[in-house]
Formats: sequence, C-alpha cells, structure tokens
Amino acid sequence: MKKNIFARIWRSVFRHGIPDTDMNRSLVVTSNIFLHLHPVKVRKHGIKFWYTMGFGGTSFLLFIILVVTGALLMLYYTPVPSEAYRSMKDLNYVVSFGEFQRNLHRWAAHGMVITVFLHACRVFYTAAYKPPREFNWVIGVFLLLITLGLSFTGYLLPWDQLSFWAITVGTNIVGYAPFIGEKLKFLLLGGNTVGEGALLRFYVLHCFALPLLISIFMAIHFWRIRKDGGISGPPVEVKEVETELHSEKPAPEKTYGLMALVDGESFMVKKEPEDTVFTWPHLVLRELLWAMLVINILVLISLYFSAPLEEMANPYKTPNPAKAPWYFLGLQELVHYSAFLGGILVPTLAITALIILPYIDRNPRGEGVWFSRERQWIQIVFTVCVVALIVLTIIGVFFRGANWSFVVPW
Amino acid sequence: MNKTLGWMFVVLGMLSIGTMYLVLRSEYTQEWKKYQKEFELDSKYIIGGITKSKPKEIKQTVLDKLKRIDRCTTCHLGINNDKFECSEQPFKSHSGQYLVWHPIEKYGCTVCHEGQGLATNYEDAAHNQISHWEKTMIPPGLTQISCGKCHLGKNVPYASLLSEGRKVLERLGCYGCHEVQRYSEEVKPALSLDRLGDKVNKEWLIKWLKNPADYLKEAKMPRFSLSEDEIVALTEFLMSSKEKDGLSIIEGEGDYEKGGKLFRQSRCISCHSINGRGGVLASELGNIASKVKGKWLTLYLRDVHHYQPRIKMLQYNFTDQEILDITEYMMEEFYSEDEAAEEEDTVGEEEEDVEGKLKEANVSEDALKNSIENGREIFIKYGCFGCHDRTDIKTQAKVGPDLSTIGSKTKDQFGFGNIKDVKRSSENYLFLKIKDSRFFDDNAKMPQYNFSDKDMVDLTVALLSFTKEEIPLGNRVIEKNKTKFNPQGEFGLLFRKYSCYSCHEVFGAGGELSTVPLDMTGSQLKKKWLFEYLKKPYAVRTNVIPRMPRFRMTDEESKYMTDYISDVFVDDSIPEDFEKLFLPGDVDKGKRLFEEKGCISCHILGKGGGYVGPQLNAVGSRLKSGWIFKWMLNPQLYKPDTPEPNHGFSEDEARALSAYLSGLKQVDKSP
Repeated sequence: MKKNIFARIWRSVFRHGIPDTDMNRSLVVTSNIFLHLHPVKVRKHGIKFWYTMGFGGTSFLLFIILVVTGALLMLYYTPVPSEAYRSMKDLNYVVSFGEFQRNLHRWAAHGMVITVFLHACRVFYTAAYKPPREFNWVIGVFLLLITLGLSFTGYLLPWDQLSFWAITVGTNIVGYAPFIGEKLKFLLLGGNTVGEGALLRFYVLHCFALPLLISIFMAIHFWRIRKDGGISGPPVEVKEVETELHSEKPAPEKTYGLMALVDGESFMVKKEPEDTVFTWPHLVLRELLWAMLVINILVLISLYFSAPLEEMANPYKTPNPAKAPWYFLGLQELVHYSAFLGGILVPTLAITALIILPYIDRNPRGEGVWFSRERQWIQIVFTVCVVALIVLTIIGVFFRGANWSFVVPW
Repeated sequence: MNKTLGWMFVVLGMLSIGTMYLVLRSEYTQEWKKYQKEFELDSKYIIGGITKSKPKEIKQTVLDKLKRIDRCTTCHLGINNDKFECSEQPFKSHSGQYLVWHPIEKYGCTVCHEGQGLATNYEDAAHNQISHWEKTMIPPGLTQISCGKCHLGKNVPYASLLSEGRKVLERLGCYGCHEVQRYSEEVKPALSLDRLGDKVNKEWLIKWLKNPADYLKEAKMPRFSLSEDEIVALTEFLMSSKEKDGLSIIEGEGDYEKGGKLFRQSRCISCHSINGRGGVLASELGNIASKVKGKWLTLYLRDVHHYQPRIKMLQYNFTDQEILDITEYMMEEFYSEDEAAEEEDTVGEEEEDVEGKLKEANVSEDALKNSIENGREIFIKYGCFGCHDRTDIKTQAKVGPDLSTIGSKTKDQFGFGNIKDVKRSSENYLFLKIKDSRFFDDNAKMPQYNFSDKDMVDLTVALLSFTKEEIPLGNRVIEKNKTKFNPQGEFGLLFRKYSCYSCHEVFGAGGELSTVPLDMTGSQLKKKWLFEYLKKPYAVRTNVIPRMPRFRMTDEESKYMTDYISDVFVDDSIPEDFEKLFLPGDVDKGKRLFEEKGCISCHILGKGGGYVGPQLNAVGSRLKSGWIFKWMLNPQLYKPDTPEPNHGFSEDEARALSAYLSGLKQVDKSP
C-alpha cells in the first residue's frame, strides 16, 4: 500500500518511466518544462563541443546565476546614494556569504558580456545566421545590446568612485549623439549629472526593466532556434537511395503531424536516422557537465578575487583617468581621438551593420563550418573589426594612464 | 553513453564538493569569529567563573549624528573593561579615562582614531594604509589630531601637542600667509613697516633679511632664502618709507646714568628681554643699538602709537630730557661688542657683494627707483604684507594655500612631487614641509622656520585638526566668545595709551601677563590706594618681582582712571560700605581667628610672616572690607586657582576677620 502511494506521487510528478528506452527518452524531454526547450533528438553535429563551444548555453547559465545572486543582493541593497555604498560595505563585512554573492554576481556579469560576444562571433564564423536564421541573428544582436545595458546599469549601483566615474564617462559618450544625445542622457540620468535620480533609474533598469526585456528576447531567441531547425550545421546531403526507399510512403504527412505545419524543411526530414541522437542523455549530460565546470570555475574565482570597491563616490574628486566600464573602453579610446567618431559614427555603424548583416550576406555557402573558405572576404572584414575592437579595448584598459596618456602597465 | 563523459562527471562532482567546502570554510573561519572565540577563553581566566558560550556576533555602534558605524568592538572586546588592561591587542582595554569622558556608545571609535569602522577584519579596518580607504588610522601618538575636531578652543585638556601646536600657530602667525578660518579675525602677527627707513640701519636690515636668526636666535621671522639681488631690492624698498615731513629731532644731550636709572624704574624688562633674560611679551633689546637709529628711538618713545598703532607697548609720560637720557643709555648699553666684532670678521666677500650691489643700485636715481619697484614686487610676491602692515600696499590676498580644512586632505592631494623615499601620509608631508619648506619643491615660496622638533610635531597635529568634518553643534566644545573690552571717551584714551589690555584681562579677554583681572577691581580696592598705586606701582606680594610699569601718570590721569575703575569695574556680589555692618567685638574675634588659623604662616603682618600671600600690614588701606568679607567666605569662587585655603568660615567669622583686617591701616604720613 505504502509503496503504492509513493509510486503514485512519483507518477504524478514524472509522467514517464526510467529513460532507458527510446520512448521514455523522448518523454523525458517533452514532458519536462525545462528540457522541452530541446528537441527530442539532436543532430550529432550539433552536440560536438568544438562546433558551438557552449557559448550560447554558458551565457544563459550565467544569466540564471545572475538572476539568483542578483535577487539575493537586492535583499541588502538600498538604491539611495547615502545608503548604497554602505550596503556594499555591509555585504562585504557583515552579511553571511555577502562578499561571495557579490563576487559571483560581478564576475558572472563580466563573464556574460564575454560569452555573449564570443557566441556572436561563433555564429558569424560558422555562418549560422544564414536563412532561415536571419531574424534570430537580429534578436541576438539585441540580446548583446541588452546584456551590455544590464552590465552598464549594474556598474553604477555600488556607488563608489569606480562606478560613479565610469557611468559619468559612459553617459557622456551617450551625450555625443547628435540632436537627441543630450536629451537621451538627461532621460537616462534623470538629471544632468550622475546623482540620486540616476541611481534610482539605473536600479530600476537593472533589476526590473532590462531583465524583463532580456527574458522576452531570450524566449524568442530560443523559440526561434527550434522553429528554424535547431542548432545550425552543414546542409544534410540527401542521398538518392534513401529517398527512394522512403518515397513510397512520404513521411511528413503522417509521422510528424504538427511539425509539418512549420515553414521550410523540418530538420528530421530527409535525414538519415543515424545522423541524430536522443537529447537525453547525450545533450543533457554534456550540458550538465559543462554547467558544473563553469559554476566551479566561477565559484573559485569568486572565492579568491574580490569584486572591486573603491572609495565612496565623490563628485568633487575626479580620478585621473576616469574610465568607462571595460567593454566601453574601446569606444572611449575612439572618443579620445574624436567624440563624433567614438560617440556616434562607430557605434551606429557597428550596430546597423550587425543588424543588416544576414540580409546583405547573400552567399548561401559555408553554413555550419568554421572559417569556411567559401566566404573569405566577409570573414576578413569581420575579423578586422573584431580585432580592432579587442585591441582598442586592451589599450583602453591597460595602456592608458593619467590624462589618457599612453602608459606601460608593467 | 560515453565512458569519458562518465569519468568527467565523477571528477567534476568531486570538484564541486571541494569548492562547496571552500565556500563554507571561508565563511566560518572569518577573522572576527576567531577573535571572539579566543576572547571567550581569555575571559574565563581573567574574569573567572564559567562564562556562558555566547553566539558569535558582530558588534557595532551606530552614530547617527556623527554619521558613522563602528564595528571595532567586534574584535576589541575588552576595550571597556579594566580587567583587560594587560591583555594583548585586540582585547586590551583603552588607556586613560578617555572612554569615561567619551563613552563608546556616544562617540564610537573612528571619530577619534579614524580607520574604516565598517570593516570586520584587521587589514580592511585600515590599521595601516590600504587602498581605497582615505582615512587610515591615526598613528597612536598623534590621536590628539582628532580632539581638535570638536575642541575648538586654544587649550584642549589632555591634548598637550594640540594645545601647544595651536599656540605655535598663533605665535608665528601662520594665518598671515595662509587662510585659517578659525584665525580669520586675528590681527597681523608682526609690526608695521611704515617709516622703516627712519628706524633701522641699512646694514642691519640686510643682515636681517638674509637670516633673522643671525641677529636674534629666537626671531619670529623666518628665513626667506632670498637671492642677493632680491635682498638689495627689498632693502631699498623697505628703506624708502620715511616720515613725509622729515624727522623732527629732540635736541640735547642725554645722561647715561640717569637713563639707566629710568630704564630700570620704568620696568621695561617686564615685557622686554635683554640677552634672553626678562619678559617675553616684547622684543629683545640686547643688541638694539645695532638695529635702530638713536634719533628714531627718541621720537618713538615720545609717541609710540604713532609709529606702531597696534603695538602692545604703552606710552610713558617721559619728558624730552628723560627720553634723551634713556636713549643715551640704551644706545650705549645695548650694543653687543662681541657681535660687532664678529660682524667685522664675517664681512667677507659675501657681504661685500651685497654692499657692492647696494652701491650699484644707488648710482643713479633711476636705478634706485627701479630697485625700489623691484623690491615692491618681491614684497608682494613673498606676501610680506600678510604679517607686516605697509600702508601703500593694498593687496591683501593670502599667498599661501588655505589651511582651513587641511586635515581632510587625502595623502594623494599633497604634492609629494618626485620625492620617493618618504612615507606618503598627510602627517608626514606636513612634518617635512614644516621642517624644510623646500623639501618637496626647490622653488617653494614658503620661508624656512627655525622650529624645535617638538614644535614641528605640535604644529603638525594642530594643522591636521582642521578638518571639513561636520561636527554636530552639541558636540562642539567652544571657548566662551570673548568680546574685547573697548571703552570709549577719556578713559578709553588712557586705557589704550597705557595699554592695560596688553597685560591685564578684562571681562574674559586681554593679556595674560598680569595675574589680576580688572573685572572687579573697583569693588576690591580702595580709591585712595588705587590712586597712589597707579602713580607708583609696587608689588603687593613680597615674593613677587614688581612688573607693573611706572607710567609717570599725572595726578589728573590717575584720578580719572581711579574714578572710572571704581564706578565700572565692580561686582554686585561684593557689598559696598560693609563697615556699617561690623558689630562690636568683631575686631577681637577676628584677631583671634587670624591667630588660630595660622594666617601668619603665609602672610606678613608686623615684622614676621610667610611670603606666599600679600603682606597685610596696611591691608585695611588697600582692600575694601566688603571684598575681604566675601573673599574669606570662599576665595576660590573669585579666583579658582588661588592657594588661599577655604576654611569654611561662617558669615559671622568672615565678618569678624574683615573687621580685624580692615583696621590694619597705614599710618598716614602725609600731612
């Protein structure tokens, strides 16, 4: 009897048996809200580590970590100038695991900026934005921008000299935009300078508006991956013989039911059965291992490297040099040469180029392969841009001293 | 399933357990928890008995008004408990009575010691310099810096460095060149330079400008390290100021002997020193003859306040002949032979250079004019006007940086320049700057002072006590606001002519040389006695050197002053015409008491007695009986530090003593 009750409770939660049969392996994925983001079966090519390097998934994992640690940090944080800095000190010195939480949040945030950027690079170099995935690339661009926005708004919250002046510099770059620049800056700061209004605005953006926005965009992003045929890969070579074998009984009409309604080719269509494996356990296990590795690395970093916290923000004491957050230092470096160049021209061009990229790149070849020789020129252009960005950022971070003069960091 | 993946799962799983352990360990082995555990063990031995194991907790003092939260007591657990006097840090109890005067609950720790009160570990508490926290703990010996934040007066109890430092600052007049908010109303610390050309010898001035300490070791004026050209120009400029109509001269010959007598009679050395001996209120006279011109001295003595309107010196009523005598004496007597000889020795090439240049500057009128103009620029450049008046210089902007909030500057805000091998802290910067004004910058304008080591430390402490920190009104300790007594009319003129204020305190302000404040002298002293005393002052106490100068007041002046003092400097608590209340037998009772209490051991009466108090032979002629009565009741009420014992006399006894003492009168010899 007892056994029966446990069994019944178990069955009420998990509707499937132990996933040792193909049937149950399918059910695990489809009947689990978290796993159903995945298809039941995935192409072998898609789960190869060196194809995706897990950048997209890592970004999502870091986002989850950020949501959890962020929610915990909110318990102690007060978005008022006189209190904000003190709550940082309280986290560091009084709250149990407080400094650890803050470190996790800080390093995960930096990590997410990096992985989202690397994810974008991966998608570019494997030409994964080719039809039908053009729009998902655009969504991805927005996700990158929102990620930067999240990091930027969070940067101000500790209210120390570092954050105060980084945001001052960052919002000044916004102010360089023609016509709307000053207005936009005013809107963002709730005033002309970084102050009480700005802190509250950044807090609301950081903890409510942008997370909501990024969640919506992520939902679309993931949903479209499924709709566009899963993780990209090289086109499947259709083998004449097999097509003939199945031709007497065309599969799409009966076997795949609703899937047939999806535009374009369903990813299972015309493919060899040997080309795919079950998501459970092949993909899920790999994801789990990768997540463990990432979390462990992050925890170790957070244990031994503290998030920076300088003196309390002091509007009357400008550090020299005052630097924007590191991911904007490339822009600041450009602003140093010309405000128009760094403040308007380059960011506008870059974002526009990224958004229209899949529509102007009409070359249908090279999908699913790293550094395909069939799309050399566009890769060269992109690489030059990426290298320029990285070099400028490195110069900005390490090689700039007082009065933005060139210094050697060692 | 792949076997490799399985192994990876095992490895990563173990790694996860390891990191989890590390996270937990970092939380539970925090420094303060360790200390609290240790303290519990120590307490068992020191306090005894079985102390209950308490939960580990952070202790903090929240100070709303002072805008601080101090968690120092999380580790400094024995701070408030004398039993931990001999423990090691962090458990040692606080030294002295400071926590009784300033309880932790009200003042916390960092208000005095600075450092980061929010932190709960040794390093972050900024016991030593750390990055990203401006206020490092003040080194233990210098904590007095913080006393000065709230204690705004000149004398801060138990803070000798601070009090002394503030005195040094005031004495040397740092506020002449630097803005120091608290001293904004002080007058210029040095004398006026108007008409200097009439006063001093050129040779002396050159020597003085080169290094004042050569002439006078204790010179207040610092050394400006001027170049020879600058000295020449400045000398010409300073000497260019002369009496417009030319000096009128007192004709005649002085008498050395008479002058010497007069000099001693006038008690000049109450204020002036001669070769380091004598008063400290006024300038050294030991070598004055090499400095000033005799002619000028005669005129100066005749009208002191014409030449130096703000000087503390009084105006003697000398006759012209007396002035000639005293001048003769001074010019003769106060010329140091040694120095003169020495001077001749050292007139080497260097001085000849200056002399040569001086001659050069004098060749033509244009050259002289040019030189004077240059001198004026130098005068302004070095901010000489900050300390010295010179009527034709209008600019008054302070040449040095503002020191009003120097204590709030962080170490990065001090210009250490390229000096590498010194500890970079604000106290170190100030100390080195005071010690050697050109330590950090070879072209610094600040002159070189001749400080003792102690003065330097004191001054550093005093300077660092000027902070921006807003101290709530209730916590500020301010000395009573002393408004200067400034009588008008005829008495006012006499009051200033005789510079009473230079020595005497009146209504809480004024000089400190005299032990007698004038506030209630009208109620204390008999008119007749005062009248005579002002004309010919003497020491009331036998063991005291008479210091009150002999003004040579006229009868009229003395009467005027006596009348005013008797009418104005009175205290209503002291009864007038007390004699009316004496009862028969009081005199005898008083005499008996006088003998019983052994007053004679301190006071002279008749031919014998002690030397501590004033002699009483004619006390009845000097003091009003009402005053004697009140004084006997409670001497300390009127003079808190008087050695006169408080015998706790009843009113009857005090009255009897008053009756007895009032009867001790001088035998009137005058017809």
